[in-house]
Amino acid sequence: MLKTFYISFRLKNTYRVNSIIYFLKQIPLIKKIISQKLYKSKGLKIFANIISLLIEIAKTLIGKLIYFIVMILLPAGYFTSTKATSTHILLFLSMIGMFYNSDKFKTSKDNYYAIFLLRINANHYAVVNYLYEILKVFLGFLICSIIFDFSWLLKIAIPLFVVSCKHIYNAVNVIGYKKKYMGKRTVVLNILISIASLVCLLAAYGLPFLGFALSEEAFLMISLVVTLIGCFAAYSIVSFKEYKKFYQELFSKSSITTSITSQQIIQETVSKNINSDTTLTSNKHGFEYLNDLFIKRHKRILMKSAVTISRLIVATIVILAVFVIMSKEVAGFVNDILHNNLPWFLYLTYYMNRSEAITQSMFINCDHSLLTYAVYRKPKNIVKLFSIRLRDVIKINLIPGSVLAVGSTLLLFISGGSRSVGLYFLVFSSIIAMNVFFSVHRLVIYYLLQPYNINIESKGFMYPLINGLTYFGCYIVMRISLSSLVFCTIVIIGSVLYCLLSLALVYRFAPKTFKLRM
Amino acid sequence: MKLIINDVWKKFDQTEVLKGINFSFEHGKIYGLLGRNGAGKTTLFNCLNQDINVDHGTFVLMEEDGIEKQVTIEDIGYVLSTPVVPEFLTGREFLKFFIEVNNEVISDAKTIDDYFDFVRINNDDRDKLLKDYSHGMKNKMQMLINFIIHPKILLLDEPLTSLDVVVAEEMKQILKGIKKDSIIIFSTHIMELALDLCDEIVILHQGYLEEVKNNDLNNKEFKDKIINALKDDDRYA
Repeated sequence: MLKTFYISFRLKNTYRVNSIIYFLKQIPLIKKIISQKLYKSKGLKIFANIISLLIEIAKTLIGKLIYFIVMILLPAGYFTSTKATSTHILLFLSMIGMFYNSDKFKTSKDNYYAIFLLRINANHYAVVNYLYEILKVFLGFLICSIIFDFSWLLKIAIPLFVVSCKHIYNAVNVIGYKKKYMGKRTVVLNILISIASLVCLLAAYGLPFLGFALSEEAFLMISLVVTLIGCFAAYSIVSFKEYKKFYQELFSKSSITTSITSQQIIQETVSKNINSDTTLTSNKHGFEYLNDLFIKRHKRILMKSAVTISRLIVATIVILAVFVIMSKEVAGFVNDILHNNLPWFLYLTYYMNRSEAITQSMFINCDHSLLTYAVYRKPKNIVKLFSIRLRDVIKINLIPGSVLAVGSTLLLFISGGSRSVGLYFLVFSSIIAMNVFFSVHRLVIYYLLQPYNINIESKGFMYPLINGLTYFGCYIVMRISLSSLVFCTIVIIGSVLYCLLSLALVYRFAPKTFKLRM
Repeated sequence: MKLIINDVWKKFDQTEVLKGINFSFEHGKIYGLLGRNGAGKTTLFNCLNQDINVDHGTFVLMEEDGIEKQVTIEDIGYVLSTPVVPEFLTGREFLKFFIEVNNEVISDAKTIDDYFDFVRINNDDRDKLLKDYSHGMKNKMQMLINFIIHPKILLLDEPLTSLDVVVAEEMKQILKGIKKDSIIIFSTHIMELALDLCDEIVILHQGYLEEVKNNDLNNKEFKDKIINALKDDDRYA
């Protein structure tokens, strides 16, 4: 068992270390220094090993620290300052986590390599890796409970409770395999899980909001029961002897085995997302014709999430409007947000924007093949198609964008309005401007930094870097306290300037940058 | 018309793949480009197609009247070993789009159905989405697209390897039919195919490009000569 753990840990580590070296090789200046031979350099391996260890520790701890602070302690402190509210929230969030963040038997590449290519004993491999993952969860929660100064009983109960939730989920998964239930998480089951999660979420934050929270004693009792069930669950996981078949089943349902031949994944992705209805035609010409058919045959992936987001926004605005009309406090709160916290909308618009998914399908289902043809790479044609696409990407993003803009202006009106009539116009047009800004931004960086190669692998360093910086920029802006009048004015002028500048950059450079990476 | 490669160098990290290639390809001929795995055949094609930049050297096109100009992507048709076609279009839609965006360069436009007839794609398949085409049919479409615009240089990277014998034979006949208008460079591992289809054999070995002359050898002797040339590891050391 220990030997299996040692081998699998080394395998995972080699995989991670080589990924780190590969990542270093993508950084513009460093890649000049690092040659291919350095994959066998001992010094660099040690360095990458240290980074790998730090990443492992960070993954064990930092995520949980942030989770504790953001999801539990801050909201708990907002309602009351008792530890009982914290354990109350933790209890219900852990139940949601049980459904969505418990799966420890994953179809990752290293699992595939270990079990099927290197033929490591699947039972040993699955159990030791499971226990290792669970140990990380246990330690993470134990350290957090110590840092945040819970009582000594809770210091033990919290990690045991969380770990037991995960045991229960995984045991059901494994036993489900025996009873042939695996992979049959049907639509009905998914809906039931979603409803249960929503109830848990409402219970986690809604009950404390109404002044009710489970006591610490109640949490301890529930933990004890769950831990006892968890022990049985853990036993059934450890004593399960058909992990090879179990993984075979898992991999047969995933695309990981075909990711080794990435061409097959392309086929799969392409086929899945194309509407096969050939009666969808177009009477346009040239690139307009190509784009028109692309949009029509990909309507499901291009429009579905935009429409879903729009519906969610409508629902949220209607609910808020009802509360605003019913309660003066809520009206004041909403009015204050629209007057003083509009930078939050930048963050919201960032998440609402569908352009990344759109550019991804543009590449996989269209550019990946057509960029190999000379006519598609002619500078004037690149710019022509870019302009057509920009128009449609903005249109798609403006579906949820305009709903949010109209809804927010309406909320401003019914929540008490504003002394400045111009603010209505500014709120509306700045939300529209933010949407246009992100649409332009995403498409522009796709054209300037086209990150994929012919095998649809993401190459290069700049594309993820710019994406990361965009996110970071939004986060920073959200933290800045600005009145909506000033913020909207800056957003509108900034968006217009940014769009003009980036369009100029695309027209100038995209003919050189928009090609398949080799 | 000639394609002249002047002193082309390309290296990846510390590995020199192309070490000063000099060669001249003439139109009207199919050149069989042979080389061992990793010899740099695809690299040479990618450099020609401007997918990657060369470290040094030029690709020049010399017209019949002796005027020379740098090779541009518009001069090149590139058929990849794995056919890449936009799978969300039908065969007919792909051809329509391609003909429309190339209308400036297509001098002898035919109807879409004439083109389908040319590569023997059945009536029933013409209005199917390309994602439902077989590998061989996609390959035919890819070749057809490249034939329509009569590129001055046609690069074929292992195009027939995965086709069934009937389709491969059809494609060979088509290539022979269009060779008079283009410089065709055909990269392959399969020597029999190269000897059967190509007018000249060129080997890419240890970073250099060299023609192997037949000199009236019989097939067996010529094959041995090519294999010896590819085996000769110390030749340029």
